Amino acid sequence: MNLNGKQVTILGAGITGLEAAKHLAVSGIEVVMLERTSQPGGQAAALSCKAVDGCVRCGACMVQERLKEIMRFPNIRIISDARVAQIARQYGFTITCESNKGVSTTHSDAVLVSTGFQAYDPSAKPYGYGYIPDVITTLEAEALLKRHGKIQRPSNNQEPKSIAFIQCVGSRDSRLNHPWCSKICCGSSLRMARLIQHRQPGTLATFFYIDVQTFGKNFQHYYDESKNTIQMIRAIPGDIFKTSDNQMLAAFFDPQTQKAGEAVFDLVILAVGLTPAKENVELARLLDFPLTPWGFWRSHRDGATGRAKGIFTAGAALGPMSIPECIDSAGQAAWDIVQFLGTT
Amino acid sequence: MPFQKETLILGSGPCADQLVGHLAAHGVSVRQVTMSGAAAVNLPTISGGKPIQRLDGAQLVQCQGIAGEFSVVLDDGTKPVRYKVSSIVVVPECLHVPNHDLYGLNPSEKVLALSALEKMLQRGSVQAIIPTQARVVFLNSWSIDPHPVMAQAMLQGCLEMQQKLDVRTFFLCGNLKVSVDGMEACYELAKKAGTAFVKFSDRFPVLVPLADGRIQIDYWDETTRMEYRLVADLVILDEQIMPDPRLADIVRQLRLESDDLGFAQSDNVHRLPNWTNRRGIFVAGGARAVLTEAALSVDANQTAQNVIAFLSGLDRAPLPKVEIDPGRCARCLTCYRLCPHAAITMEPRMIIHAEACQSCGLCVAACPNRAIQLQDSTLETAFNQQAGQGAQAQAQSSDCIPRIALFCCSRSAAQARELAKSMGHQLPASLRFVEGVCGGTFSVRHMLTAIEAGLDGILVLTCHEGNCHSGKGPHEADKRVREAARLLTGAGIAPERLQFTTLAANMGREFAEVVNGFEEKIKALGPV
Repeated sequence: MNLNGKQVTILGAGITGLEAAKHLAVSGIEVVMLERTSQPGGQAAALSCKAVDGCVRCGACMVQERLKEIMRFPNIRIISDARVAQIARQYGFTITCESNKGVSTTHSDAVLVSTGFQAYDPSAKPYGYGYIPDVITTLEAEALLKRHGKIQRPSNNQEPKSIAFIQCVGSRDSRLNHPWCSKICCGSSLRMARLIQHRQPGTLATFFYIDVQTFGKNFQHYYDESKNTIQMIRAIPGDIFKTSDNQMLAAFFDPQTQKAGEAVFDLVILAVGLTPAKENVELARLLDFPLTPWGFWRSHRDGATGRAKGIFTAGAALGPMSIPECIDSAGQAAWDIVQFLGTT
Repeated sequence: MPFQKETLILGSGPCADQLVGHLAAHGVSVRQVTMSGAAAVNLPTISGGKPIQRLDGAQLVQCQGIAGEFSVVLDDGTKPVRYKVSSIVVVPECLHVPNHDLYGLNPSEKVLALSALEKMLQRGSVQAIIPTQARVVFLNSWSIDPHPVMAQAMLQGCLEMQQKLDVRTFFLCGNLKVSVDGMEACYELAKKAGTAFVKFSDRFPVLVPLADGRIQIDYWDETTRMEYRLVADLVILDEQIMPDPRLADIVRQLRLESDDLGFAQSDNVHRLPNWTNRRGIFVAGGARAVLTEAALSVDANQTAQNVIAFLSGLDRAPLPKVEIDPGRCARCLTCYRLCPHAAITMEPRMIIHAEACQSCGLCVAACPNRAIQLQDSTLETAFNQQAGQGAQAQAQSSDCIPRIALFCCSRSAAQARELAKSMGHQLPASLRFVEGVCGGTFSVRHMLTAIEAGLDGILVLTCHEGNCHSGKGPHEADKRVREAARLLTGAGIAPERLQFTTLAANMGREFAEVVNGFEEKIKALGPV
């Protein structure tokens, strides 16, 4: 199918957008990627490699790989620090975007929304996030690992002796109306705990959970091994307090003793869930495309007709997805775009 | 533009049939082997596309050749026939095996596997085998974790029974798997509809068949800390979802990597989604993983896309050529055995096929006769300048500044180096840098020559085990460093001057740490 001369604008240059761009470029399509931040790569680019003795299949390195791969395509152009200001609809899409290089206008025959997710802000949870410095999110822990290679307590830059990993913060939460599992947190937290124990031997790790979710093909083996070094508690703490000696006290209902349990930690890492990006509402308005009741993007496959024609959606913008799932989703969207452009 | 040669599809089922339909519609001639005696269901209807050649129940008995020019022999039980195909997609369905053994329960009218229940629900025949107000118990594995795809099917079956029939459902599990789209919402619905969920962590239920065939379940509930007895009118067992056992033979015939579970794709993120160690051979659906129904459909689409990109020659960038010098080749088959991409054939000369070769250089480094050359001169040039003879002419090593060469894999360590530089990490001043496509490119000769040329230490950096594009890069590099270190020891040189370390592309900080640590070590050892 000859699609030379066709143009597609991709909103968001994370793993999903990059993978889709590659597929589209192969078909000869001119691709313009608009990236909100200063660099392509998205949120997965901020993740650290979790390898201990060998690769643990976290997939974080795949972003670098995709970035390198798309460089061979002259028909992919990336505009960073971009903000979509206006979208006009007539014979396709005319997108006005503002970046620090000024205002530019691109015309495209189709648009792919791959704007990703926003991590849940746990300030509203009773975990002291925001005012206890040693309560941090998984993303902040990733940043610490990336910067120092080790985990330090933000309050005193010392290495913690004990760490609590609290799962499902902002996920599987009916009170928040978040009836979804964020899919990636169990895997990322357990891999992170084992990386820290590998680099900072003797660190005690406690994992608070509802149900441990499967990640990776070799899950059972990895999970069984994790149980040897990580204390697993099937409960989610109700509260976290700061003690007088600068530790965090987590109060929870211990299912084993059937009593209120307490434990103190040097550091608490909250596995914050994947939620819809707050920019979705404005972008959906510009595109005149429906969102789900929760604010994620609908799949273009759910009856994208009328005004929604020519708009495609993929990746974690649709709901929580792992990196491999984002790659599949990008492949699907690119395929659908190629079919669409081939018939218009 | 129609594609000249056929593509062979091994497998049937929804994913295979959707893929076949897409390829045919895009002008690809397809030959589909359904792997079972029965004709495949859901036959795609194609208008205006290429016709599909179908062989029901045939077996792949041989595969020769390389990407673009495979020669396969298919045997349908009557006579083996040879076909020329340009690409191959392996796409069988997974096998479902009911967990009777796991629970120690025999199949009966009161003990059904999920697949059997699904069929009965479709036909509306479940009511006939259960009393009104029946207690229906779903068993979803507690001692080992079920696959989320199985948990999804169990949960959906449970919800349907609870909502539509006059029953009381119980869902017994260890970790409830909800990491599939919509499953947490489905779990909430089932709870609201009246399903009782009981989860076990370390004390597991005891199942005893009664004389009337019903199953008595004694369990300890973690939430209330009490013993309970439940007599089930109907027990629904979950199933193991596993790769088709015939996949093992296909993997062998096609010389594919496989994973620990028996799927025809190694557990390596760089093979995702549909790539294998061999160019032109793809895996989809049940050949690569257990996938949900929705994911199987997605996979059919993206596989079609990846196959078409390959057939159009756009699946990869041009690579440096690797060639065998027939004058030097002793046909020892070292390269043939080592090549992770099955790109080398003997006919009767050893030939490296550019169409299949990924230019990893494993064979170049391993050839005992140095008969294989990487046509890309950048590696040897860089080596000569940085670590070989060229290095000799440069400044003498001194006690305080050791001369160190880094041999780096282009996909991991070389990128980590760029990252380290961009992050502003300090690196030793006297570093020499040699980059190869894969860490397996570097030979024992490279290492020894560099030491001979006056270098004080060599650090070989590759990706982590399990993350290599060539599959065996880190393993081979490690082996060669050990071999070179052994030879150095024999010559009275400290083997610590050679070091092998693995790094990922995103480990800029670790790169600096490893390199600076190595410099410290070499400083302490002093000049050779």
